[in-house]
Amino acid sequence: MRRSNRRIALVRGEERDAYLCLIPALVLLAVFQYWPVLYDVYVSLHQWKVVEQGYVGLANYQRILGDADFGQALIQTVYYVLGTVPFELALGCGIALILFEVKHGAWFYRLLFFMPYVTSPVAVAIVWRWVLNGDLGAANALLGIFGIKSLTWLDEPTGILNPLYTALGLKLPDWAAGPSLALVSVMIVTVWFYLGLHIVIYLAGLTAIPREVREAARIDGASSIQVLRYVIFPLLTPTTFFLLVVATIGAFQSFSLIYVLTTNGSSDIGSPLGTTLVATLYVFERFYQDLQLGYAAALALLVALIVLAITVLQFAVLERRVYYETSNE
Amino acid sequence: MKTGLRALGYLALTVAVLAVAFPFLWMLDSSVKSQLEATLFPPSVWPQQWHVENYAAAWNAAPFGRYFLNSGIVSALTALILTGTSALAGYAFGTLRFRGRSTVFALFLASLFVPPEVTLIPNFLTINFLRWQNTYAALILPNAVGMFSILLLRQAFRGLPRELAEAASLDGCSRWSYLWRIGLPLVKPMLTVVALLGFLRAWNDFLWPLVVTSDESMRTVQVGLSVFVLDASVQYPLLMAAACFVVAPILVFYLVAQRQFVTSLATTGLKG
Repeated sequence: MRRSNRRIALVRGEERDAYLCLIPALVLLAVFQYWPVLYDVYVSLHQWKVVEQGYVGLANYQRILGDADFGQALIQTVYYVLGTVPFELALGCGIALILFEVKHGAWFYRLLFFMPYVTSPVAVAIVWRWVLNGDLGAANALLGIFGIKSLTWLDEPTGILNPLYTALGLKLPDWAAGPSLALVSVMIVTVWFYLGLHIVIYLAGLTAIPREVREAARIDGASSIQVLRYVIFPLLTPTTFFLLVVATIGAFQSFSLIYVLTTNGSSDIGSPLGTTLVATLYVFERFYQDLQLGYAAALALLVALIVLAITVLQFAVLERRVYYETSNE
Repeated sequence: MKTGLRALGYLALTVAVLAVAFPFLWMLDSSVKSQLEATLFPPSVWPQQWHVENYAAAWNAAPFGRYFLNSGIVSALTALILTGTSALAGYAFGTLRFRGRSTVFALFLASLFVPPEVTLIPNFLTINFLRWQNTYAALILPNAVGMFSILLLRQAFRGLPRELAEAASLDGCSRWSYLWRIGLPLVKPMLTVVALLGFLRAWNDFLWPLVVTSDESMRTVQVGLSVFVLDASVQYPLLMAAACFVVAPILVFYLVAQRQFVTSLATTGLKG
């Protein structure tokens, strides 16, 4: 009896072992990934200051609608995304194209470009605060060499378009002045931080393009520019689309770098004057400083839904323009 | 024409690389300047005098010894447990056959779509509920599982020939001893990658340790460093020295294992 069922027992044993193997990961995922999503919804429906203080229905969500500061934070987040993602993609692609042609020492360049991404956001933010220091910073010294007046960088709350308006003699409302120079400084540091990752992924995309395709185009008489325009760029669209989606999500979730660049003392987050307070920092402020956990949970959920909507939109609008190779064989 | 273009390419690359490397060089440069020299403008390019004692002063200005101990323990254990949970799950999905495999796999994959901003507050409450504030468990366990690591190891186990497991089983080798003695040694390169990434992520993590530690003796290097910088009285040369020794272990790792770092970080995407 036992012997005849040995094969089944063996399979059963395999099943049992498989589930035993999955349990550790599954328990951790359940506690720290799946359960929190449900629990966040629960918390967001309650008045919750340090401890639960009663069910309030959608009151937290209604409060968001009237929260001008959050609106401002969202606008600044959009500036931040638009001021980082396209530059990361363009510079990443450009440098990867050059690096791809380099015969000697390419690994050395790649090593250096990728270095910021492996170091800690906290440490590099501290270094950048020093480089961009308004009085003593190296950035201003560099501008000085070219005869340009010192800037206040991370301490400058006025919009970058302001000088332009002043020069033209126009008087425009604050919202039309664009992001503050402080936020632009944060964008510069962000692009610096993530550039290496974009270069590496673009290099992988370039390596995947078959050599014969380029050569065939050249033999047919296409110029370098034409090869780039009609062969390389189209074949890179899957890479570009992937990076666009992932970098947009990443920019919305960015926290550590911005927090350490823009916090003064222990409470002045998103300085100067809150002009660098992006959505994640705003949620953190409500959560960690005000301990308004219910409201912060609602905000976090809303931000996540906005990111989801943007991702879906990117797929809906752009994915059909992505060229996926149907077959390699 | 062709060589002209090539030279232009090298020039552009060199300018870009200098711009990327500059903050690191400046960090090193400033870390050995005297406080007085650091207040010169325009700054001196080369330190007039080397004040290597800045490093000792920075180290003693905050309990960095304790921070390093904490970060070392947390990062090493995170890497170890992450590798363990991922190897087991990767083995189950990659080698074993069981009912419900695709369903369970889909459930695992769903964790990729959980946004980190949403989990922060509930996880903070969970840690409070467990009374785990200021414990290593709180710092380690939430990072001790990762779908990307599981995917990497599933791929590695799938790459092993199926006959290997069958032959081992015919020779009377149990599944556990197959995993321990044959499977794991064969996927060792991928185990290294997963462990390296787990260590890197834990070492550089900032928001989570900030939220679950309030006690100075439980702070990690990143939280300690951020407190150090937000204290306006600390001088810049000391800050640069502190930043140097916080990034040093990671940079050493990176220079030694750069290929693994670059390719695996690139394949696991932007997180952090």
